[in-house]
Amino acid sequence: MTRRRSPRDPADGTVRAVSERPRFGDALVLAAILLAIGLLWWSYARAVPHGDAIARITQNGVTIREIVLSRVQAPETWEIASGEYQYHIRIEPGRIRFESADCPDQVCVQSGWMDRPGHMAACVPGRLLIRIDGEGGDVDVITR
Amino acid sequence: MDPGGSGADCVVPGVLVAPGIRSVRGTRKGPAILLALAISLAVLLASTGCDGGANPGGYSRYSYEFYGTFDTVIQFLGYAQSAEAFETYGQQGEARFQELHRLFNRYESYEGVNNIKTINDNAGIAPVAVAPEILDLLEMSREWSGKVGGVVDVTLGPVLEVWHRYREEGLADPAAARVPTRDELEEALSLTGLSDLVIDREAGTVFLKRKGMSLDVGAMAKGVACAIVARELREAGLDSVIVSSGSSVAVVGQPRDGIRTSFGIGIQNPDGNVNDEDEASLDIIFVHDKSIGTSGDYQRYYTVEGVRYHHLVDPATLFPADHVRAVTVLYPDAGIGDLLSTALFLLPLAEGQALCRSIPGLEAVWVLKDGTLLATDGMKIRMKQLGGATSQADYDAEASPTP
Repeated sequence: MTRRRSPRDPADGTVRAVSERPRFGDALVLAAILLAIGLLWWSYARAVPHGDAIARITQNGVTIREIVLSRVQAPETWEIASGEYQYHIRIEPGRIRFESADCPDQVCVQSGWMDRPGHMAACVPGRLLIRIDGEGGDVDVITR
Repeated sequence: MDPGGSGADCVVPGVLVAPGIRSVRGTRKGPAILLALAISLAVLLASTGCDGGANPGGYSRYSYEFYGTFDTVIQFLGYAQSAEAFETYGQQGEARFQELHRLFNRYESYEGVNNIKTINDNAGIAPVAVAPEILDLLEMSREWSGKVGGVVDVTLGPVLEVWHRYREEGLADPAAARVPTRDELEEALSLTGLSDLVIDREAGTVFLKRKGMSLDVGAMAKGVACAIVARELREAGLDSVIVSSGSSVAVVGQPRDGIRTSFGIGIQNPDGNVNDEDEASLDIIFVHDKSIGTSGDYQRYYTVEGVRYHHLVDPATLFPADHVRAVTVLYPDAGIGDLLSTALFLLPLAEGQALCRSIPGLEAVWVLKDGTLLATDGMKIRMKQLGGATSQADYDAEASPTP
């Protein structure tokens, strides 16, 4: 990353060779440059997590659980009841799905794995929904 | 809520190793200039919103979902300046969806509402005064039924009722699932026909001439509702939103994220239940200010002796159509688009392709039985994998339409 290279690298020896002794002004410049580098790095570091896909599980429109899919360490099967039905939601690193449900239409299970923003699966009879949020994906909604 | 690409936007390559350092050697003005440069850069970086805040104009992305209408979940996804603002639009849209659900319902009666069921209950008896939304829907359906060779017909109610009854029974007791008999279907067919549907715009009434006739608006009701709600939300000031019922998607404006010019609509893989397949969607269509409609054999179905019978019935054969797995259309209006996706699903592929050529503004992509995609040229240029399109390419596509 070129922008992290210090302007006072040894490679820049010609500057030193013709300069007089370092002055206070030089230190100030250095400090300001370091500050700028720091800010640049900070803004860059902050921008990265926005790519993360967040799975939101909502029940009747209310969020009951949020999972940052990239931070899932170990696979998990989450058992939850909603309405009159029982669901098994499978959570794996980077992806999530309705694994099984005893609802009548099985549309939620048939929706399969979801791993990127825009993906959504809903069980209408049980009013349970999994939606992947996050920026940077190409898909806003899925038609079916 | 920062768009994913902003990290790259914030990089200012080369500035910190500016050539100025070398060019100013020997003079003492150099550090002062550098100091000013570095400080202004630092201030600039700290203040430009490069830090992942809101999008240009203070817009952020929100989603609003609700149940209870049209047997599905309805989603509004769009950009607004605050969560409260989006919530308000969401509630307005939800209330309107509930109203339209009651109007277009053929199974339930509602106090003080004349709906499709009221018209059906009065078949052969009396004309029924209905809301303008119902008149609009039925007039549109009649007009477009003619344009698609009669393959979509709102008076097909009796035939669809037979299939509906057998499907419900088959789902309740799969072992006893049966297919309707030819006689039953033929008898139901004798109670259909658009010529016996009387729409009186001046009186504001609808009348089915013969007893036993019934309307079924399932092929276009969700799309019409999406179109109405999308139009009203835009009029209310929400100018960047997707109104989606899943099978019908109305797109208002473009994403206000400062990056994209089109929303991305994923096409569902008909075999989405394949465990080793981590792509839940087949391809992406980039759309702004238009609508998407999808009809497929995987939506509502039941199984008899290993054979799937879905809900999209061809009036010519009285059986579910079996030409393709699914079809997704692009059309300016969501209501007409919904009807057209049903028509293209019911027509043999070659006839569907001919229909696309004859209707300006209609583009389509078919999911064939082997899982491959076939798209019209105008659809292809908006698709990510099939046509190499990007979320910025839609406008380019319109600027230079393919012949």
